Amino acid sequence: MRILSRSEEIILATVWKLQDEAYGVAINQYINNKTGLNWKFGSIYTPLGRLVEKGLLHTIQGEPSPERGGRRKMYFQLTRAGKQALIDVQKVHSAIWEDMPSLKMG
Amino acid sequence: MANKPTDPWFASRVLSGLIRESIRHGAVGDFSEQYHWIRHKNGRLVAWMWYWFQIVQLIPESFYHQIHWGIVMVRNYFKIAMRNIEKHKYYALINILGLAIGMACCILISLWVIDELHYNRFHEKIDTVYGAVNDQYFEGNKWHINNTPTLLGPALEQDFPEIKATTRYQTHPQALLTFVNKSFFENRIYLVDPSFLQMFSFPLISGDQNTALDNPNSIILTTHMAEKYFAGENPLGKTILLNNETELIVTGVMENVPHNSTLTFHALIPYRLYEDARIRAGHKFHWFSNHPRTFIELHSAQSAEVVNEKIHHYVREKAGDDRAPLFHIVSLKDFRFSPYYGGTGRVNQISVLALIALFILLIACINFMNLSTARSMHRAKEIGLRKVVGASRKNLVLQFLGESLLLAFSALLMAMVLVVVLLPTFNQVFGKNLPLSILKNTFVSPVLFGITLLTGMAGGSYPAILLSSFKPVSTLKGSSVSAFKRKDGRMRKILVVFQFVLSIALIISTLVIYKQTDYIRNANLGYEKEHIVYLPLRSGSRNYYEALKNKLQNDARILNVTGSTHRPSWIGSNSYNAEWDRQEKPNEILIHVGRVDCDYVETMQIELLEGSEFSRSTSQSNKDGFLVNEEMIKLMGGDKGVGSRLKFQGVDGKILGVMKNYHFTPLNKKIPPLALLFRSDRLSNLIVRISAYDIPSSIQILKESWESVVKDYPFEYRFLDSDFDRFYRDEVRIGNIMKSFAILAIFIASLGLFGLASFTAEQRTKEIGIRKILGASVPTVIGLLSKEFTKCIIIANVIAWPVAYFVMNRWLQNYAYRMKLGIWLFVISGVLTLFIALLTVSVQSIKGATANPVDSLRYE
Repeated sequence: MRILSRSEEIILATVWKLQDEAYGVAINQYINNKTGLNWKFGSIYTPLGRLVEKGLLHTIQGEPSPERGGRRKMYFQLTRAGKQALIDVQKVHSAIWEDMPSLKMG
Repeated sequence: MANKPTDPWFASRVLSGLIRESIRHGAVGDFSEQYHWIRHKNGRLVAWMWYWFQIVQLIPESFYHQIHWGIVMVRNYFKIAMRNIEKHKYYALINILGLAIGMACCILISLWVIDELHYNRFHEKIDTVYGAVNDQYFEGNKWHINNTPTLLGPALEQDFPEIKATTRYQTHPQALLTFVNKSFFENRIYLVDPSFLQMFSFPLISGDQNTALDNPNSIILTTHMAEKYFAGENPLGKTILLNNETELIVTGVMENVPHNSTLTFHALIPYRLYEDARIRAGHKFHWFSNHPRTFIELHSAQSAEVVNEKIHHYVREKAGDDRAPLFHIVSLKDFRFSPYYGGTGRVNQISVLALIALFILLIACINFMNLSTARSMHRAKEIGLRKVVGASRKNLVLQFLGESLLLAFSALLMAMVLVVVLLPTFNQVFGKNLPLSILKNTFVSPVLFGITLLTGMAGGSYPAILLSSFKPVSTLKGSSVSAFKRKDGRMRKILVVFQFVLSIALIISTLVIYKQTDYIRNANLGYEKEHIVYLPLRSGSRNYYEALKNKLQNDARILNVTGSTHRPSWIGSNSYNAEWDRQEKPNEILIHVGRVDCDYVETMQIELLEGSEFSRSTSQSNKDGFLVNEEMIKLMGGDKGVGSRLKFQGVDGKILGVMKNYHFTPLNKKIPPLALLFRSDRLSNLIVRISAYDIPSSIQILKESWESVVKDYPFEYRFLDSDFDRFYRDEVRIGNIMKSFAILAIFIASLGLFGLASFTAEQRTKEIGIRKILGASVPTVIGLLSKEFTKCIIIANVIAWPVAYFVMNRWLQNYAYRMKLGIWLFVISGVLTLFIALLTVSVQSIKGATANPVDSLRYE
C-alpha cells in the first residue's frame, strides 16, 4: 500500500479543508500562510496535476471572471480514493507518533 | 471606456505550453488572477516580472515531463514500427534493399566524380601554378598544344615580375636503365628543372629536395622503381646506366606518385642533361623548337589575368616572327579537364557519370516512396484506431515519418556496408583506384544524410499526411482495392512507367555500345592481324635489325619477316608537304607516312591492287618507290597509278604499287591517304608472321635468335591483336559500365514492381477468392493481376524507344565506321524488359491466384 508523500498529503489535506473554495490560488495562499513555507506555484501545480492524473482529485469548472482573462476557475475536490488516501495516511501518522519519547532539544 | 487589463500575451502562451494538459486551463487562469492582483498592487512592471519568474521556475520541471513522455511515445512508435517490419518482413527488406543498392551505386559513382575533381589537389601551391599552352592551326582545325619553346621558361622568369619561378618538364624518350644485372626499358622518365621539386609537392623520402637535381647526371627514383632495381638495398649514391652509355647517380627516392595526379612518372632526371647533350650535338635552341611543357608559379593568383594578357604575344615578339603561336596560361586546378592536357571529353564523361548516378538514385528513391505508400494502405485500420483513442494528427505524422526515416536510415547503413564491400571490385572493373577516405574529406556525408532524410520524409509523408486525414470510421470499415485503382494510383503508375523508361533506355544503349565495340574489334581491317608478332627495337638495338632479319628468314618455321619504322597497328606520322603531277594547288591534306622493308605487304597480307611492293627483285627502284593506298590515289586525282610521279619526304620518285585501303588508324576515323617509303636498315620494329601451329615454339625461336644476335638489350615481343584490344580498352570499359548500370536499373525497377505486385495481390485476395468461386481459372486470374503492369511496360517501351534511338544515333556519329541501328535491337530490349517484369509480377500473382478461396473469404 503506497503512502502519500508529504507534499501530496499537505495538498490533499488543504483541498479537504478548503472544501468548495479549493482552487489554485487559494490552496497556495492557505499553505503558505499556515505553514510558513513559501511554496511557489510550480510546487503546487505539479503535485496537483499528478494527483488528478492518479485519480485522487478531480476538477470542477467554476465561473469565468475578467481578472482571470475570461477563464473559468478550476476547483479541486477529493475523490473517494483521495479521501481514503488521507484516512490511511492519518492512521499511519498516529500509529508512528504514538508513544514517542519527547523531542525537546535539551 | 478604459481598456480591460489583460495578461502579458507572450508570457501566458509560454506558460500554457509548459503546464500539463490536465490542469492547464485552471492554472493559467490562476496565474492570471494573481497577475492582476499584483499588478493592481505594485504596478505593471512588477507584475510582469513576477509572471516571468514563475515561468522560469516551472521550466525545469515541465522540461523533464515532456522529455519523459516524449520518450515513452517514441518507444511505442519504435515497437510498432519493428512489429510492422516483422509482419511484412519481405516488403521491408525489399524496400530497404532497393534503396540501399541505389544509394550504394550513387555513392560509388560520387567517389569517382569527386576523385576526378580533386586531381592535383595535393600540390600545396596549386592556386598559383599555371601551365603555358598555345593554339596552332592545321587543315582548318585548331589544335591544343602544350609543348612550349625550351627558351620560354627562363625568359619568362626574367621578363615577368609577377612570376616567381618557372620549371620545364619533358618526357624522356623510352630509355634503357641498367643497374648491375637489372635492365629494363622505361617509359615514364621525366626531364625536369630543379625548380620542379619546389613547385610541385612530391616530397623526397631520402635525398635533399633542394639539391637532388643540381648535378645533371643525377636521377630520382620512386619507391616502386627503387624496389625494381635495388630490391631492398639503399639506392642513394649508386650509379644507374642510361641507354648503356650515360652514368646517373641516384640522388633521391620519393613516394610513388599518387593516383590523382596528372603528372605521372617513375623517375626524374635533370633537364640540363638533355639540354647539354643537344648543345653538344650542335643544336641551337630557338623559339620554334617546341618540346618541353612549361609551368610557372605566380607570386599571387590575382596576377593570373595580367600574365595571361602579357604572355599572349610574348613568344611572337621574342621570335620576331608572326608564325609563332599565341600563348595563354591554364591553372593547375583545371589540368585534368583541360583540352591542353589530355582532358578532352573528360568533362562530358564525368557529367554523364554524375547524371547516371542521379538517375539510379532517383529510381531507387521513387521505388522506396512507391512501396512505402502502397504498404501504408494496410495501416489504415491502425490509423483509424489510433485516432479513436486520442492520437492527434501531429502524433500520427510523427509516427509515420519516423518509421519511414527508420527504414531510410537502415538503407543508408546497408548502403555504406555495400560500398565498403564492393569498392575493390568496383576499382578493378573500372580501372580506378578510389580510396574510401574521399568520403571523409568532403561534403559528401552531410549531402548523403540530407538525401536519406528527404527520401525518408517523402516516403513517410504520404501515409502521414493523407491517411491521417481519413475519417476513422471509413478506415475501420476497411477496403480492398488494387494499388493502382485509387486516385493516387495514377501517380504510382506514372512512377513505374518512368522507372522502366529509364531501364529500357539503358538496356538499349548497352546493347548498342556492345555491338559497336564488337563491330570495331572484329571489323575487317584490310589486313591479317592474327599471328603477327613484332619485336620493338629500341635505340641501339636497331643496329641489329639486318642481322636479326637474316637469321629469322633462314628459319622455316617463320613464315615472313619484314620491318617498319612504326608499330604495325598504327601509323601516326603524317605531313602535308607533297607534290605530284598536275597538282591544282599545294596539298593541304595530311598524308600518313611510314618506312617499310621488303615483303611488308606480304607479311601483313594487305591486298595489292596494282603494281608490286618493295622486294629484293626490285631493289633498284625501291629507294625511289612509293607504296600508296587508294585514298592517296584519290587525293592525287583519280587518273594516277603505278608509275606516277610523287615527291614526298625528300624523295622524288614513282609509285611502285597501290594497296587497297586498310585501317592503320583507329576505326573511328576515316582512312587517310598513306604513302610508304622504303628502308631496310635500323628499323624500329621487326615484324614476323608466325605459323598458327605451336605458337610457343615460334616465340622460342624468336627469343633464341634475338639472344644470339643482340647482346645487350632484353628480348621483347608483342602480339599485334593484343595491341588492338588495348586500343579499344576505353570502349570496352564504357560497355562494361553501361552493362552494370542497365542491370542495376532493371533490378531496382523490378524490385519495385515486385513489391507493388505482391501488395496488389494481397489486397485483392478477397476479390480473387470470389472470382475463383465463380469459376475463374488460375491462368485467368494471373492474367487479371498482370494486366495493369503489362500496360505500364508497354507504355514505357513506347516512350523509351524514340529517346534511346535519338541518343544512340548521336553517339554513333563519333565513329566513322559504325553499325546499323536495327529495329530488332529495340524489340529485344522491350521483350526482355517485359519478360523480366512479367516474371516478377507472376510470382506474386501465382501465389494469389492459387490461394484457397476459403481462407481469403473466411473473415468476411
